[in-house]
Amino acid sequence: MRPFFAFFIVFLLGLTPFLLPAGSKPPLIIPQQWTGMDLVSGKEKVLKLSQGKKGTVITFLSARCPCSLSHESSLDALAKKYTPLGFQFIGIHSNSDEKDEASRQHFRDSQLSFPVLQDKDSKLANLYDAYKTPHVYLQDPRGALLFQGGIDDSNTALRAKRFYLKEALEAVHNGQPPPLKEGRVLGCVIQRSIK
Amino acid sequence: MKLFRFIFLFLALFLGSGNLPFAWSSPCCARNAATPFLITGDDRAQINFGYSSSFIVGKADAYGETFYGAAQNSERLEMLRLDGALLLSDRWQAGVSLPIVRNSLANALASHSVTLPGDSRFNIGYEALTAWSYSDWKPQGFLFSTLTLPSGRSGFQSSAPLRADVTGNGFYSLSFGSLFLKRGSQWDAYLVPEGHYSFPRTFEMAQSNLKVTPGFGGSVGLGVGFSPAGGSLRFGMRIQPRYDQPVMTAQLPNFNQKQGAAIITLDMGMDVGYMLTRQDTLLITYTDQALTGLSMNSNLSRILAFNYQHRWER
Repeated sequence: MRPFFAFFIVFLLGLTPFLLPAGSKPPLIIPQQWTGMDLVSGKEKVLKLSQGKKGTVITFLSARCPCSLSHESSLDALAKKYTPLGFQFIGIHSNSDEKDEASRQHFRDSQLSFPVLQDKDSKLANLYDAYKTPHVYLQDPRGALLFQGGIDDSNTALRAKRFYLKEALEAVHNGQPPPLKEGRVLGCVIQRSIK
Repeated sequence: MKLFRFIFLFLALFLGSGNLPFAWSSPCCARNAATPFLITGDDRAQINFGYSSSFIVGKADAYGETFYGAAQNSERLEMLRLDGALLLSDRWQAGVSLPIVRNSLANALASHSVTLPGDSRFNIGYEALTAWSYSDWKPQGFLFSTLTLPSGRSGFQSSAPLRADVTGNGFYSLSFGSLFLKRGSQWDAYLVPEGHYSFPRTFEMAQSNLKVTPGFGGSVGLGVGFSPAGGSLRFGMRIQPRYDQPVMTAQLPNFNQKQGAAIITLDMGMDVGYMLTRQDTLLITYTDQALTGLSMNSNLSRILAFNYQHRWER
């Protein structure tokens, strides 16, 4: 019987990590502003939380991840639709393994309608616990996290069936809480700076 | 030596599959599969075609003494395997593994080769620990249960010379396990503790029936991988100790019982994966059971495997 008990103990030990709380925590410190080099315009920018009258959408993006690239146009379309309605859109580029010049060139070429800030030393990625690109955070004007997760439910924007960010924006615009607080993040793991 | 065996046995139990887990990964779209029949990346379905060739190079007896190259028989086992996995919902999935085994045995007098189905596996998995945000330490976690059907022919059913038709264990087996996976943009690591129970079965023999009770067993797969510069190439290493309880046999109707010896094996391996496209990966793995003298009551094999995996993204 001893092996049986040994395996029972192993089984119980194997289950212990599943006792951990599921889901993610909101950022511990809510930034009131974001500063950094805008990779689209090439200028230093200071973006304030208060500029998003209804909310701010922070999206971690990559200059080479195919999953991130495939969502640029749909994200840009959302920005064009919801910016006039009081939402602020900010892109963040945190990947330390993507060369600065290549990233600048990519975001210049992509002509997004919102700024993409270079996240030096991946500080913002660490602050938000951003995992992959694209990874989106919707905050209210006080900084509270309303939604975090993928832009939609697919690696490729054209194949998406459920549009998490759009649903969240629409709900907040209508004075409702987002239908989901969290969605699965699909994409490429962010290479953080080791510093 | 006893202490060493105890530590090994403890690791075998604690870290605790009949299947060799292997992993491939790439930074793009979190592609990573620690088992070919479990989806762990951003995919909704995957299929894996595998070929492996295994040479028995030695044997470890019940006391742990190992003998290399002294076997009078040469034995080679080739396996063609089809594995598939499909998401049933966002977190639930099902998988299947269907092998065909070709066993080639030869001694000084004769050689025989038989091709038959191997034991097939059906798997249910649940993503219990999601990785929807970054954590320094928290892994992605899956629970899985695998049912093994004795679709292969066991040693107790063998009728071919040199027992060349043995392609399976002969028992229904149920395993429960978990898979913990942690990945960065260039590296990944996984741990697969698993415990299993093989159900007793009665085999009809020539003169009387034989009731065989295999009992409990377990294994632990532990692997790490590295993709240089986050590219399409991945190099991996893995280790998998495995323990199986001694098999009890009882001759019916008299119940003359005999107890075998526990089986302990230690698989160590390395693999190279190359992601051809976002949906396709080639993987070459090498597994060696003869690197250490820690095995007991088991053949010692060296296995070379080639796998091709195709995935359908979410």
